[in-house]
Amino acid sequence: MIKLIIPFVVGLLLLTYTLISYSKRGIGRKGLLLSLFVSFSLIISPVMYGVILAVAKLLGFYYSFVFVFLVSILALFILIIYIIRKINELDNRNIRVIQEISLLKAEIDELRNKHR
Amino acid sequence: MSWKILVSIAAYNEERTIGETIRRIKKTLSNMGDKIQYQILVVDDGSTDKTKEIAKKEGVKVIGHIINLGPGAALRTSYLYAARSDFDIVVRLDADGQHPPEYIPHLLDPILRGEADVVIGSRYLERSYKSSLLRDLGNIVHSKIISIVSQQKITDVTSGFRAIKIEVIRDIVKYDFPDTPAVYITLKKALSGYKLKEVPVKMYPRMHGKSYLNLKRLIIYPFKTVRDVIKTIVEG
Repeated sequence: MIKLIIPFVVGLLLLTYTLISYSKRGIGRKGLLLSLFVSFSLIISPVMYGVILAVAKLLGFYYSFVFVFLVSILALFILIIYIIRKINELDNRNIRVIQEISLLKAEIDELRNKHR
Repeated sequence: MSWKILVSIAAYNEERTIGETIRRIKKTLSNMGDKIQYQILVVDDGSTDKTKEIAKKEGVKVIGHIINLGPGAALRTSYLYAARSDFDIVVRLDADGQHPPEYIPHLLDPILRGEADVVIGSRYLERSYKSSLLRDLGNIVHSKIISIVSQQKITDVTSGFRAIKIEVIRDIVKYDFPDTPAVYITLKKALSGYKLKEVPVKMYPRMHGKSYLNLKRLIIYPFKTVRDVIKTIVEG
């Protein structure tokens, strides 16, 4: 029984935290969707334990927790790829901004020297 | 007709060599007469020494990054500057004394004669340069891969000593360059249908300072090349 209660409680806590964070603009829409997906999965999994068991068996997993663990690892993996891509994108944006600042600064310096 | 040339040098902590490199460029280009008008640009990539001050003292245009961004970003800054100005050709070389400015006329010649859009100074055409075995091997493998993918014969794909027509610059500056940009940019130019040509040049070991490619980066380099090849093909 305790095995079923733990993910349910964790899911509820995560859902509360997600909603509070979103209301305070701590996370964006994409983060909200991802957190909602994870927290609902955690809440639903103990309630629909039988369904998970059936899906696990259907996919050839003898123990349902192995299936759940694998899905969690895959979800984390997707999350990591998403975060890496996001960081890379922000890094490129930073570089572009610094390049534009450098070019503008050089232009301002040149204009200043001309007016001296 | 007088050609407008931008000679671009990306520099990071090169206070011991930058002054001499600039003076040698000036001397070489002055000897070319009225055929060309030129400007020298130093992109200071967040140096912590006096690179910027020395370059300014030499009377050249200096653009400074507020922090160190790496060779790829420094190169893109110089290309951005060129693309927004009215130059015809951009020549780029290293500030560390590896690329002798005396070869600039050799790089410019095929473009001035309309034979090429991009001219690469190759240290392997006449086997004039002895590098470490690992680097030589890496360069041969990279050059072969790029030659096959682009269907143009290239012997020194990692050479940063180049002359490039402004049309090519305007075309590729829209993209973000990786931190070691030579392979990506060469392939991009070749796949875009531009005519690449190599001319033999002598290169020398760097006079002072450390190379950007340390052992760790050298090991990662082949993986980055694969990534860059895929990136280029995906971007089209």
